Amino acid sequence: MVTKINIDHITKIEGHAKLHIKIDKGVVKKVSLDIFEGSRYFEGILKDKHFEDVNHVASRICGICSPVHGITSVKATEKAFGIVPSEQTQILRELLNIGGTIQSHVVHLYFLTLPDYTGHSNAVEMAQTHPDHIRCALKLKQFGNDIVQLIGGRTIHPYTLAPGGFTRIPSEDEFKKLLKTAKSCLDDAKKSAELFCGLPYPEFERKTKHFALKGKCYFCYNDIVKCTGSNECIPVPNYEAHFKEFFKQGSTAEFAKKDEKAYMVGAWSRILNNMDLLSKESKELVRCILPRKFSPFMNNPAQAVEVFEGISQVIDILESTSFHNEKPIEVKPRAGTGIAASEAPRGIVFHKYRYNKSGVTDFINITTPTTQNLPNLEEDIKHFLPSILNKPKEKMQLEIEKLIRAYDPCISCATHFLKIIFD
Amino acid sequence: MGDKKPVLGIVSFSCDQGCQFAVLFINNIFEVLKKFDVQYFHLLKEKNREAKFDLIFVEGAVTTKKEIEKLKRIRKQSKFLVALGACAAHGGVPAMRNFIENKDLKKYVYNQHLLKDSVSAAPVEKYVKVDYYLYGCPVIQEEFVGFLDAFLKKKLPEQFKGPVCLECPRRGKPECFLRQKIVCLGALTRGGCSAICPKSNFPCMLCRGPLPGANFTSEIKLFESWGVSEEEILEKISVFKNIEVDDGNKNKH
Repeated sequence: MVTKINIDHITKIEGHAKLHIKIDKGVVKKVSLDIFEGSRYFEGILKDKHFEDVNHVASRICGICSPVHGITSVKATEKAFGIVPSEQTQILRELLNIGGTIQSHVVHLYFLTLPDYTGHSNAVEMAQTHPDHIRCALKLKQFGNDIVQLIGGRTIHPYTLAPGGFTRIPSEDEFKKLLKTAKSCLDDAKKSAELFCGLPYPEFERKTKHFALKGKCYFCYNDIVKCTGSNECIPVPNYEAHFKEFFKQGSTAEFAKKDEKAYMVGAWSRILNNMDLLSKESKELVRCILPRKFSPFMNNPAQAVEVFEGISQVIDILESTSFHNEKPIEVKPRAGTGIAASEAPRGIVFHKYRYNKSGVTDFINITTPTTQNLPNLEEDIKHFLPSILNKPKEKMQLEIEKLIRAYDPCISCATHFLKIIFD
Repeated sequence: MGDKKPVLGIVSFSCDQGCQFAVLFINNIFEVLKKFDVQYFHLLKEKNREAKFDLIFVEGAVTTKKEIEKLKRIRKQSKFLVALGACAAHGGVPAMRNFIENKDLKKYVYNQHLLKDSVSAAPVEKYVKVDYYLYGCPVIQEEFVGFLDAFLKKKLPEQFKGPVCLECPRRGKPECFLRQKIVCLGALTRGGCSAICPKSNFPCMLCRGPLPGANFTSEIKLFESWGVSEEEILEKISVFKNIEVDDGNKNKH
């Protein structure tokens, strides 16, 4: 008996996804995750753009992780022009990225993931029976918003980012206020991490490689990509030689593999690669999930731990730094190529720009975390399916959704919106 | 509407969903949505259905034939349709591709055969009647909440009349970007955003779209007189202005 499962629309954020599964006599024959993203042509749109405008357009790649696309963009531009940003600029970017990561993680964890485990179909329903979860979620989300708003100018698509620095530096009072809020969030963030570390995640493990940038501290990274279980270190400028993008028939998105093999990026990969940089308390929090190193579901608790770690770092930074008013470094464009990478909420993101001598882009390549995670997710689904084949179809669908959502593949892919067609 | 809550939906076409996130990021979002019967909101809900909407927000530009069909279907069964944000209201960032369409776009298209469903990126009003516009990239949260309040009271807020400059603290001062010969599109842009970008030392990018009657020609001439090339000016303007479709005078509000 052949069973086909078509999850017809795992929708969107920048990605409409569908899943086709074919099972023959209890054996999984085919798993294909296809992206039929709308026609957005980002790498085309970014061509012929003046360097001052590039990061503002690049930020529009994603509504949920716009800060990190903006940051990576200005970094790539600076590399192309040989500019080294000031230490303060780097710290502000780190803060901005932490803010963006908190926004993204909290929305994913509480609005999209948690209802699966509390037995609700959405967060609005969950709010009725678990008001405390929602209170905590809104508080932490607001703190993420506060950081991005203060440093970036608004909560989505920060406009103060520029090659060479920031167009506006917040005042001492504004930073003081942020520090106070950060401190008031710490307990909730800890409880939140404990909650997500303790959820009854499905039993499933599959060995895979985890890649992340090598940290100087947690949330500030060197230009080197690291891999779990090996000494392999890849300098960011060489990323294209290692992480190969390819197209799949029927998909509008790109997929990426390393040496023909799928790999994982994201919060869990960051923690596994940079464990030694976590604070003592965060290390304590991850201890109980470490034995399940090869479970992709651990990306959920890893995100929750990162929210806690992020808030702790914000407190450390704000207590130890005195910011001064500083204008962006003057940018003198020149012909050249710049490659930069950051840790976006969902994993490593690479931006590569080639500029002509007037500072106008003539080649762009962007590799997003979801591009990199999709092949690994596909493999995971293949291996996960046999363990749930005996479940009723609705339950099976929910379990597949839980797995997809654990990857947080550009959020709306992870929304509760799977249409499965069984024939 | 009697005792029944108005049926609300947010539907999304080609964009980065920044406006849906802006809505989701509103701090008391659940309080705000309580007054409505939310039937369609992918980012929040598992089960979404194309209901008979009292109020439907449309986010994103229309870029495929499938999207046109869906938009028309939704319009038919909706009482009040709002174009939410730059992409829906005037094409926004997705419409930039129209500008590059004649160049070497195809190289950048992921899977060529999928192009056959593709049409020029256009604002929602190209295909259906729009009852109200909320501008910005992304939409401003206070404006969104204010609109919902007003909708419930059946008194729609008036659109801001005039350019970004009207609210700009640099206006008429030496700090004005134009006086410093820095390209700023504030004078061409629909205001109402409290000039947040110029307030943070960043020139306006036209994210709220062209002000009706804005004189692009004379402004472009001004920039050219400073030595900025026409190509560079058009690239800047094309980020948020749909050069192919929008003549800057279409919005009646």
